[in-house]
Amino acid sequence: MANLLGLYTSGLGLVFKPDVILFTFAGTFLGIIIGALPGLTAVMGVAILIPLTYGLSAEVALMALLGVYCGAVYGGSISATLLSIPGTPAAVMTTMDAHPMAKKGEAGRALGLATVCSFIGGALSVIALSVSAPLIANFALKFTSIELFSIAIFGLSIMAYVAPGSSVLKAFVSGIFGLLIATIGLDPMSAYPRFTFGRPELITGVEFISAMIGLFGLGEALSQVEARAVVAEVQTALGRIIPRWDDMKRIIGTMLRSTVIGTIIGAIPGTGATIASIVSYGQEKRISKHPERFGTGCPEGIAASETANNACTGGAMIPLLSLGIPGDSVTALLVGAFMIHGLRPGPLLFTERPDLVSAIFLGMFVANVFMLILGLGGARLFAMILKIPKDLLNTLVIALCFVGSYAIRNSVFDMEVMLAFGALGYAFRKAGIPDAPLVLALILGPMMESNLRRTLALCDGNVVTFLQAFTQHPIAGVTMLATVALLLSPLIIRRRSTAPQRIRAEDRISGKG
Amino acid sequence: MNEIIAGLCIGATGIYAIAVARTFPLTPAIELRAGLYPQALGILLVLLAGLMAYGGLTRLRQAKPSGESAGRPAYWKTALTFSGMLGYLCLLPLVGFGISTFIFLVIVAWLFGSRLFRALAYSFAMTSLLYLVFRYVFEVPLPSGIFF
Repeated sequence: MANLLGLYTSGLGLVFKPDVILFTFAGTFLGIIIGALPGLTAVMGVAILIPLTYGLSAEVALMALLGVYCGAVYGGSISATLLSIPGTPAAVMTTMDAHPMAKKGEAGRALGLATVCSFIGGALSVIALSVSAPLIANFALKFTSIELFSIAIFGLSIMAYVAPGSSVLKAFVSGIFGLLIATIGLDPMSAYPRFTFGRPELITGVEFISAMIGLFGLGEALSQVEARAVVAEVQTALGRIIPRWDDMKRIIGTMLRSTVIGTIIGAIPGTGATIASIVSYGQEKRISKHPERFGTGCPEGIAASETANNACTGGAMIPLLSLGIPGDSVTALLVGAFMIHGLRPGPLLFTERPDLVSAIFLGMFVANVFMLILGLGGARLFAMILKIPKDLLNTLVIALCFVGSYAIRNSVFDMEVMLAFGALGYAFRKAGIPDAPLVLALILGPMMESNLRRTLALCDGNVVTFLQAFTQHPIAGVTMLATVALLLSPLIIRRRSTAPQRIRAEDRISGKG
Repeated sequence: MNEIIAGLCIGATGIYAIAVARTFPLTPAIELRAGLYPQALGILLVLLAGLMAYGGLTRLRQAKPSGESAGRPAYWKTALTFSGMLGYLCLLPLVGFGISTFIFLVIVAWLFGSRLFRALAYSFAMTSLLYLVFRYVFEVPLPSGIFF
């Protein structure tokens, strides 16, 4: 208990420094703008801003990026309300009720509700993070190579299964492709250079940040260049923004339920804020006494979506900090930000840098407070920012992608890597292949391979002994069973769902139907 | 159609990975060869990409031709932007950051719909801003070419 209390207070000195506070504020402000502008997402914003934090200290850089993360997830609600276009995919369900409310002349009410709900979801999820992460990390410290291998393979499998908006097959293609890319560089056991094409820059593997800038920044910008411009009218008459007590009383239950949903979904690798808001919205509509009001400007609809998507921010940090497995694409990018500063998220961080872990808990809470202040106080400013011309914005994004990837190691080769991953990201979008499993595979690939081979070496390369080892390590055994169940579940579900269809088809053929 | 092309390209990458990984040497005292793990991944990738391409082909056969072209994306713009990016990377070490970035951003801004004068103004402002921020605030030595 005393240890936990010490953990929570050790970061106070790091967070409450003028530069850290200033950068957290700036990050949150920038994040809201990024989230509010359609076409710019939280993951894209974090990807192109990571190189700008290279010269900062670890705590300043991480707080600024966490501010961007929290701000951007919330910012999507601004354009969802005022333009009827979700600024980020996570705000898609917010559009359903926030825009109809704005059309009734209550844009300020919708923005106020979205802001307060985002704050409640974000802040409560940070509390959940700070309670659960140290406990899980303490447990994870006892893990050996076989547990680490099984957790890595489980993380990848679950991500492929739950990747939003795509088939399981495509998600697996993305994940396996990522694992293959992760083998570029020196072999972890024999130090033999693999797939380096004679380039010394590839000896240490693909530069992760450049790859992410390409995949999320340039890939999206390339998709934008061919898209037909959509001119949408911005609602500028906002009215009262601070929510009324009557509205707040009405949505308290929704906010609490959505926080639980958002935090849990956020903690599952590969899910993210979009799934959380869809699940939460659906759940609230299902249990509501007046489901017909959803989609017409209902406060519960805004609360369900916005609380859940912001609750995901804290949830996604739980596996990242406690196990080193990112919960979503943004936290995957944060792994890169940690690595830039010579740190590695995971259970060891709690023993090596408890002050930084504590600073992350406190910093995320501070970012949520800034988000609340900026959201309520700056709504009119953000409404004006939505009028920034798209040509200017997209040109700036492309320029930042190139200069940012160069600035990481002052290398033109990293720009080439970024361009290659930009093309890959564009191709993935065109083919409907999700990019999140690839990102997770790039992070978990080296961990998976080295722990698999270490375990196999301990078993003298004998596959039977390797399989028997799972019976001697219950956590690894249960995780592997869960992985196998997860991998087989789509086949079982398909068989069950197609069986009645097959019977109906046979009935039709035989003239029974 | 995109699924088929993507499936074939990814499958070809898998085959290439298998072929290259087969040449990795066997290190004594290490149970698994350096190439075994990438080879296994390559085989999985070929199988899954093949399934994806087959699925795309099946859907293509079932789909009815729509004949609509009004809402189709302007692919030529993407091709031009990508070519511009390749050109920028070739030009950068030769003429330096300032000139190459300015020319590149003029093309990009124009492709995103800016009129020529606006594209010139944006590009000049952005190039100057990026140069000042990265060169003097972040102290990044930006590539210099034959001019400066």
